[in-house]
Amino acid sequence: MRADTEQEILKTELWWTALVIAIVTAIMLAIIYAGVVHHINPPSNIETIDPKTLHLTGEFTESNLGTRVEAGDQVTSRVVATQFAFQPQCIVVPSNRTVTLRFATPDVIHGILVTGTNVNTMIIPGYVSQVHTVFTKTGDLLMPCHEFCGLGHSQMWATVRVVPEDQFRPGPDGRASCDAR
Amino acid sequence: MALTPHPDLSSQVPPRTDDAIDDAALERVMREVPSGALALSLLTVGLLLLAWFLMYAFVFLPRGMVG
Ligand SMILES: [Cu+2]
Repeated sequence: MRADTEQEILKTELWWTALVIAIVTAIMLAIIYAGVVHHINPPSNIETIDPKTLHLTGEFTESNLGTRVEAGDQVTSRVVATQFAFQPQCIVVPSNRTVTLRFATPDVIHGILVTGTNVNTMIIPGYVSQVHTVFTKTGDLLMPCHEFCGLGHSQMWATVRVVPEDQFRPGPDGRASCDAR
Repeated sequence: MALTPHPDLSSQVPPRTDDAIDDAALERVMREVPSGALALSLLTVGLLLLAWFLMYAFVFLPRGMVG
């Protein structure tokens, strides 16, 4: 091959390398922008829980599941993911307010996403998964298990009922459930 | 069973004495190829990048805060 042809090819390859570096940089900047300006971050809560006893004691006992307004008007919803159902099947949350979703599982790895939102996390035995978000659209949103967890996986889903803020009326104990409305 | 030896193929093909491809022709081809490959790469990578940014701007960002 002639030397100047080789030079041409090398030039093209370097040019392409520079372009790829520019593309990767632009994507990284877009991700950083989403994180810093729009507060869209991957869930990064690290909190352990004993999967053998989570239903017996502590915050994931049956009576404490579902939505509850806690100190400082903080809306928190707790859900246990099991093979092959969510407990509770439906949670109610207000729109345009920061909501904290907390998940735990006593059996295998599950995962959830809430359709039409950026909520998406794994639920791993031994850990509490936590996601903060603001739901802007009202209505019933589907929350399926998105991590294959066994033969009943496709039957495993729950509903997130987003209601307008003025229709979100927790009881005197601060709890709100889908049936109460 | 006795193993039959592989026929020696190289003995049947006459050795090539000259290069069938002319050096000048090769030179012409090599000059053309990078620009075509570059056009194809730019088109495919560009479309992929466009799809990514459309999802980012019109789906991901409007869905709002999470973390
Ligand atoms: Cu599951």
